[in-house]
Amino acid sequence: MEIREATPGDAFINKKYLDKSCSFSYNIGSPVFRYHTVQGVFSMLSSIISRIIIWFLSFALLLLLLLVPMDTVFVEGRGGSFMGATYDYQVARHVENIKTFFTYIRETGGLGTDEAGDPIMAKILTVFLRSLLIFLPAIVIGFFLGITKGIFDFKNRKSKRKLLGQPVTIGLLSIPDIVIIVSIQLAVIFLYRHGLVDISLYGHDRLENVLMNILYLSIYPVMFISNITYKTLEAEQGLDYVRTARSKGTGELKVLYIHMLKNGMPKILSHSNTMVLYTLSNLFIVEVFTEYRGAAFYMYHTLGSATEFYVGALFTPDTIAQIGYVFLFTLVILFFNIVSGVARAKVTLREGSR
Amino acid sequence: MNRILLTGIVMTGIVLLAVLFGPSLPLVDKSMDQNLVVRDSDGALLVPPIPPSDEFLIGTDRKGVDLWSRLMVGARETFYILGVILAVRLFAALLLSIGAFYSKGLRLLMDGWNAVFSFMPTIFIILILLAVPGVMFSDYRSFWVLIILAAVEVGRLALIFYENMEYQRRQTYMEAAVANGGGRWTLFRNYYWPSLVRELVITAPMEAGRTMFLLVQLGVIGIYVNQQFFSQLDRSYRAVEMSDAWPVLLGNLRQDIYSAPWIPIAALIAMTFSILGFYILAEGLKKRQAMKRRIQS
Repeated sequence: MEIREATPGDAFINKKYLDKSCSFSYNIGSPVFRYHTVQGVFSMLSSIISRIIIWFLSFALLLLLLLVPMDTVFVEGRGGSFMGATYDYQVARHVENIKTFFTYIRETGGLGTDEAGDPIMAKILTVFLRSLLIFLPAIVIGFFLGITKGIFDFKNRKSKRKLLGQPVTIGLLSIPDIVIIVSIQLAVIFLYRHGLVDISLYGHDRLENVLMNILYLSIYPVMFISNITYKTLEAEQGLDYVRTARSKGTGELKVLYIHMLKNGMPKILSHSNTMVLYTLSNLFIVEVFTEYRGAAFYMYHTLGSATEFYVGALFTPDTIAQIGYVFLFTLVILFFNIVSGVARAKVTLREGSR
Repeated sequence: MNRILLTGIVMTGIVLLAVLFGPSLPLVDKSMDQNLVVRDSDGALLVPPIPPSDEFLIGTDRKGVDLWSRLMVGARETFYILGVILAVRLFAALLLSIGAFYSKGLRLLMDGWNAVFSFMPTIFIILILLAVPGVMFSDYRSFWVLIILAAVEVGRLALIFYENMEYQRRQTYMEAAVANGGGRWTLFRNYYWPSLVRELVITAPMEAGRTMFLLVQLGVIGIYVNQQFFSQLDRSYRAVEMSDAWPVLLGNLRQDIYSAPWIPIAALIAMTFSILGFYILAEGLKKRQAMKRRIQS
């Protein structure tokens, strides 16, 4: 089975850019080569700039959504019970909200303080770093272990060990992560009842919470990267340069690592954006489910008005904090967007000078 | 012999069976009575959730409703939700991609849509959109939730269809079709549309799997399609899912893992089974198309 993953933004930005910078020349020092290098740097820069512009647009759009006026008229029944609510959207109120927000930002010079007088910025940052503490290791593990597993799958695609390879990768990629998480938790509970392990499954303040959450979060990236690596190696397999290398007597391992993997790297990296997006989605589920008090957890609970509210007031008018979280999350995505773009350009350029 | 396709057909067939004949299947209690207190064979009293036993094949939920009945009866509603999301999504994506293929303006819209959405994780944007009060308190909330769940993936899907048409355009035989004087409509009817249909046949089960995947994720964090607000002890109101759909069984996952693991296990098995069924079906259909092409050439 193949999980088809189109990379939405990437396809838009990189199609043009890849077409240009892929055309490299093998003659170092030739004018053609120099021209292409310069072009490569330029297209790299313009790709970074266009990514930043798109990031800005998406953030603006999210900001617009978060600042939708909350003027809900609650209809109260006897004893303040909830009978219903009517909502009436007015553009003028929306504009007013946006103006107020920017004035607020300018006046407080940060994000201001919450009801208790603590600075919101500091809280957001602490919580956000807590999220990064599980998110970044998951991505790094995903990348390294994923490529390793991809190579394993590829090397064993024809041997008896094949059953442990690609089918397992695809299988784990197809079933919802929560199935794996629940299985792990049930196993832990089973072992606990037999007095073998003592791991707390919920919370955020212990090392084991962090480690378990990294484990949960890294399942998808590992399988995703592994699948992409396998596909890439498979595609490189029949190409002329591989046959040439083999016919010249280059060892199988050397061909695999030095030639095929290096050439396949841009392809693998180009999917990192999709992987990061998906893992961030997963971060919500893992944090909310395990009560790991990171940024996604708080964002879910401040946005929680979708599932919880009090009559008379929406559950959390804490829009400022939400905007802070959204800003930081989209910034992370932008970072990975640029990293993957730059890495891709670098690999392509090195190709050119080889 | 295409074994993958066969497996896919059998698996989706089983799911379809539950959807069509769920309430009349054996061991299904259509009325879904709540068994509040049950006496076991030794005469001891049991309160729900009751673990799997002779009387309740896979146990009961927290209200004492037989879980097997609930799964079978709930299948129809689950796949009704899934079907609506899928239909809206595919239809909108087809329109957008065909539009983008012929009009530069729509092309820009599609690319822009995808670029902007590439900065928003799916769950993230769903949460933000659902929290908009206009959606949250709408009398047609279920409708809006379905639309939002469908819309978040339209851009990505449109891109797949668009690339299919672009690929078709690059084929050499298309030049012949153009040279023979094929007009825009003729080309679309005879070349692009059939190619899109071939893509659709694979994409539809694939998307069905993905949608179910999304419903699982949303179920875990407590977001359902049909919900009503109910008063809590602290005078706050909490959304409570009123339906028998499968994702609802995941609502209490954290406690259930400790005290009644059979509830989430049953729900997860049912949903994972259908996800795998859809993916395998898509893969089998893809293989079938590839084999057909090989025979033709």
